[in-house]
Amino acid sequence: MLFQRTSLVLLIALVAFSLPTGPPLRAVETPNLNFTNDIAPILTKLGCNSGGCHGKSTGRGGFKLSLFGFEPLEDFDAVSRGSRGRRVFPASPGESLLLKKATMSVPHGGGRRLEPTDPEYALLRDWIAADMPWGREDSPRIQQLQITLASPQMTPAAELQLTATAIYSDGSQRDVTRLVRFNSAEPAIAEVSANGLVHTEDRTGETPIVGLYQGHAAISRVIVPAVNPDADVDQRLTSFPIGNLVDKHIVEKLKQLRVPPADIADDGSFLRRVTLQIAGRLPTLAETEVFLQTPSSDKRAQLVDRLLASPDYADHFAQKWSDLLRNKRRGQTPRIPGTIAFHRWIRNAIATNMPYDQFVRDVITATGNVTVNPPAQWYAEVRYLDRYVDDTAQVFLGIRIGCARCHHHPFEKFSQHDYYGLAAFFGRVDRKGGAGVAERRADETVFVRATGEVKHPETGEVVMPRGLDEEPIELASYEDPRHALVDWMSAPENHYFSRAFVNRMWGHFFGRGLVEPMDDLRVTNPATIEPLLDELASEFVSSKFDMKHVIRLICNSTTYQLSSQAGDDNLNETQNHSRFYPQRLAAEVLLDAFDHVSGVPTRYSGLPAETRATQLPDEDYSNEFLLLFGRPKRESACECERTAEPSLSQSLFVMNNSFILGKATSSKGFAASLAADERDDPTKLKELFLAAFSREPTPQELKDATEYFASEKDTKKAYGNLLWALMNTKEFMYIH
Amino acid sequence: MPVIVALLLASLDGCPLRFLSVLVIVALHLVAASLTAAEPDLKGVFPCGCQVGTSCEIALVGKGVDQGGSLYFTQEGLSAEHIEKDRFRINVSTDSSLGDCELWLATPEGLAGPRRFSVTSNPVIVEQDSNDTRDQAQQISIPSMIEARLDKAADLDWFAFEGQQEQLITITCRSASLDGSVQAAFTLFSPNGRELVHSSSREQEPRVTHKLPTTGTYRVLVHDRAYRKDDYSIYRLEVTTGSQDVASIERTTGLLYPDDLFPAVAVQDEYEQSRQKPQSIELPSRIAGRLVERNEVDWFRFQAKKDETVHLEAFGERLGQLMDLEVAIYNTDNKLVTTITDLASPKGVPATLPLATLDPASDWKAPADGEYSLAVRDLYGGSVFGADRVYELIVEAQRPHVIAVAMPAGTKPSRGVFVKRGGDAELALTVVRTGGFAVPVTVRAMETPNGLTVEPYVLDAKEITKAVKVSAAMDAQTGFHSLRLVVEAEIDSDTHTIPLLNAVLIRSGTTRRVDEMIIYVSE
Repeated sequence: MLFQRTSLVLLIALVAFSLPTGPPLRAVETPNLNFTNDIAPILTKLGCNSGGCHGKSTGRGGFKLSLFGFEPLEDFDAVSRGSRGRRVFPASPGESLLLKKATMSVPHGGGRRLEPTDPEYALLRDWIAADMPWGREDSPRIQQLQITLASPQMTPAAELQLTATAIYSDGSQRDVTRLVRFNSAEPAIAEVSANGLVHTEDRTGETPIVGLYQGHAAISRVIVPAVNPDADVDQRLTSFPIGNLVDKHIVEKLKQLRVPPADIADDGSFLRRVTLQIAGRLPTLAETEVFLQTPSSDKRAQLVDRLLASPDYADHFAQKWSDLLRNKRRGQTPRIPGTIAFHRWIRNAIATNMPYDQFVRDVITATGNVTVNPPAQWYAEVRYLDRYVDDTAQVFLGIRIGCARCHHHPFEKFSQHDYYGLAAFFGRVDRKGGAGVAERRADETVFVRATGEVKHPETGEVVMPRGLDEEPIELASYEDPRHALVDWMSAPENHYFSRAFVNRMWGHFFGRGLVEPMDDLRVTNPATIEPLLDELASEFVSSKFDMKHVIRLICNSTTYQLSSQAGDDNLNETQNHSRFYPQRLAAEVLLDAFDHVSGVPTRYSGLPAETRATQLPDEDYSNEFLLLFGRPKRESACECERTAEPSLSQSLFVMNNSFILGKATSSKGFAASLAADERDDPTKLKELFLAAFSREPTPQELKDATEYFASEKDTKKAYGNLLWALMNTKEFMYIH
Repeated sequence: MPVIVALLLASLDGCPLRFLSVLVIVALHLVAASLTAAEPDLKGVFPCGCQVGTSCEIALVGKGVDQGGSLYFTQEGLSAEHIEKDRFRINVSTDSSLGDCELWLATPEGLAGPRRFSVTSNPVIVEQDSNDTRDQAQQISIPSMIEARLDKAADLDWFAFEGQQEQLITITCRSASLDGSVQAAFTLFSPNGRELVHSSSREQEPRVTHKLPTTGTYRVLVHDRAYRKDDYSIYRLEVTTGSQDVASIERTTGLLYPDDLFPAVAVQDEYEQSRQKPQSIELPSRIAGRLVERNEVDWFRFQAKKDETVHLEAFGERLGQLMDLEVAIYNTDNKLVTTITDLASPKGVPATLPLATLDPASDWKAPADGEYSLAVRDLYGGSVFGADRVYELIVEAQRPHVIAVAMPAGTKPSRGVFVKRGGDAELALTVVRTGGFAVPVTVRAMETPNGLTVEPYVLDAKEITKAVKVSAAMDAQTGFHSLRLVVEAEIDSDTHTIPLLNAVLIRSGTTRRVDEMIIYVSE
């Protein structure tokens, strides 16, 4: 009986093993299989090694891969040998867990990723059947990825197939379209499928399509020009005044898009716009009247120069840099002298037009305490190795490198080694003294030890300081490695440094950077107009990092002076500056605008009486308005922390809160003084509109206001209410 | 007083008992009032300077300073007349020396001070109160010395002067050296409102020299760096022509100077020192150095024997520099042997005598015979450097050493030694022993003024502080006296005189040396 049972079992087993394991498959020629070139890309394409799945730092289900396959050797071990090799079954490849999970033959939390009929399935199966070869050491390595479209120009609602080609070190090429991860930067313009099929939407514009494969990235731009543009589009494009290099590039792009530029903004709009953006304030009534009446042809350029020479420019940009450099009090009174000193230093550096590379050097290499050397305050917030690197990279190089702290950057070429190479520049930084606990210390002394090193967190090896794509640097004891860091950063050939700055300035004036987000410059996030970014960066370097030079270039360009009025032909164009894109005033600028036009200033405790909101040294001057309108808490080095998103609370505040109402209707304010003024209403109304909008009232506005005044017996109340109404308009609250 | 009279008159309505009761109550009130009359608490003197050969009015700032009294100057040629309440007229003779001296105030209730007072060559201008805005800038001429104070928190003071193109001017703002608390920041504006130059924070009392670009009206804005204001917020703004030699900058420092420990500078640092070529020195040495270049490290080498104890002490902060020196010792293998950093306050020293400093000091025992290298640097040196960044370093075999500091007793600031005839007062004596100094010391007075006696005191080897009693006889000469104490120790049958420093707590957290220990004998 036992013999019979055993024989039956053996017979069943023999039959089971001799049965085919799956449906018949198309044969795939797989000579010289190589894990890195052939298998790893499949795992990436299928999403196995994404951050949400097995690419997580802790893996999933006991199976860990490197994020996006940046560490193929580790992944090879995990796949072929991990868990005692139970994921692969060379004797019967189809029974491999690797395949069964992917096809959902067994339960798989990641779902079905593969069909047995897919060529990728066959390749995986063949690789397992070949006993999971790693590959020959002399196997070719990928050098470059290219993605191409038959024609970069497409019409709306059209489709075109991308082709992705990997070029290897031995000169060979391979079509890897199926395995590339594609992404469209602007899905509203065009989308791209997983297999590289581009589908344009019904909008004019341009979008880069990004392809990622084996740690390489490639871009292909899709342009969807306007269909049936106005007959005069060519004439308008041709007659676009080329003020400087900015316009040269902008008009080239608009020509490709067949989108005409808007008209030039009128004098009042330009005056208001540039005063707000350079000086952070509204133009005074006197400035407005003089500017509007001046006939000089270069008055706009003279205005730009005048504003750049004014202390208000220094105040306004000091606030921007105080945000980025995290000049933060954290509610600690002992920190107040430090934040005030650091803010003053920043402001004075800008006022004296300190070259940008010097400015950066003074901050990064600061030693001492804030009393004797205010830039040391930067280290009060930027306290740990990761913050040194992340903040330095984000603020000064425009790179969000934080991902590379734990693993290879998913969208850039930066590895952990790159990250810790930057960290090593801060390896000698130390601190002593001060008061308070941990994150809230005040008045510490920052200094550099004679020696110091940074170790790779996984290998434990000492990492030498080195810039990105650079060789390691050896430094003698007592040398400050941070100087070497700034030397590398500010070298003319380091495009990160100059591009990051000019992109930030572009974003300041135009409301969006040539690269967005403006501190996320990377290959996979290209600029809307790369040659423009390059040339601006080059100009910046040539000017010896003169910040005002860049601002002049921008503000003196025709592009900057375009009207914000959108027509049918450019309403949907939101990237290439065919018109000026309106932006809401920043919180401090808006509050100062309310104060200025109402004549009722806001007071800030502990600061001189005439201090404006844009001059506040740190984030802790309590004011509900500023909090509501997006003043950042300076918890990060990202400009995105400052928001201009509208909200219902903001609208209600401006409409109903006594803080604003009080300013408009104050008996000591501008409205009250106008009410008491004996001049006629039209004259006074003109003055009111000039103060608020830098323009005169339209006939309709004049008529409406006059009718309202006639209905309101209390003249003071009438002017107060009218001012309040003007303050509540988008025209007042926006730069346009 | 009128109320008291009224009460007395009202009580006279025919009831003697009521009158007597009121009289007693009034008498008690007057006695109580006299008992609680305010001890003078002198916070400042404004203005704190007067031109030589002239007279000027000053006001005393503080509590209990409006009772009249008399002023004492530690310099010849100055005299004072009380005008009323807190106001005095100071007369400066034509042969008075220029420079700073000290001023003390004595009232029937106490002795207060000192405060710095300057005899100047230029007229002293007092700040007008209404110069808070640019348009209200106070007009001054060059050269000018303006005595000013911050009247409120976040006070801004504006000044205006006429300048000539190419004219070289120097603007200096003093406060700490005048016993003020202002950490000043100032900005020079051109005639068209452009900011020309800002003062630096690397100096406690900033100074700027600038060549004026054009002819016109220039403005200077002065304020506290953190917009603070307290009772000591006085400053002096000097606007002069020409530049000022760095060497002539007067340093006001902490309590201990290199001269207190070592005779004279023996060595100047060489220009081309390096780790590979340190400058050779022999013990004992007092070295004067400068940290001119960014991140400069000065290297020295010396010989030491095994177990030899070497005393190393650097002076930077105590020379008035905003500086944090570090001294590191390396052996011939270039291995770090030890690093010497901040000097902590010795145990037992009272809090009013802050001897802790960022300057490094330590006794170090050589682990072996051989040559050792010293690396001297400023931890701020990556950002703050230049020809004015001077330091001194003493390197010597450890030797027993002691210094003594005499201060008025108590913890209230700006109090002097005040004694009434027939009464006593106390001085606080602190003795700091280093280098194994373990011998008792004796403190006694030299040349005591008539009627004053100071009992000699002995502090045994472990005593750090002692209250020294000063007694005034009933017929002691009233007025200001300079009390000279001397501290002696018997070492190997020889009597050695110990340096004695006089110091006063100027205000909470600030103690400084004073020229003399002034004592006032009152009726």
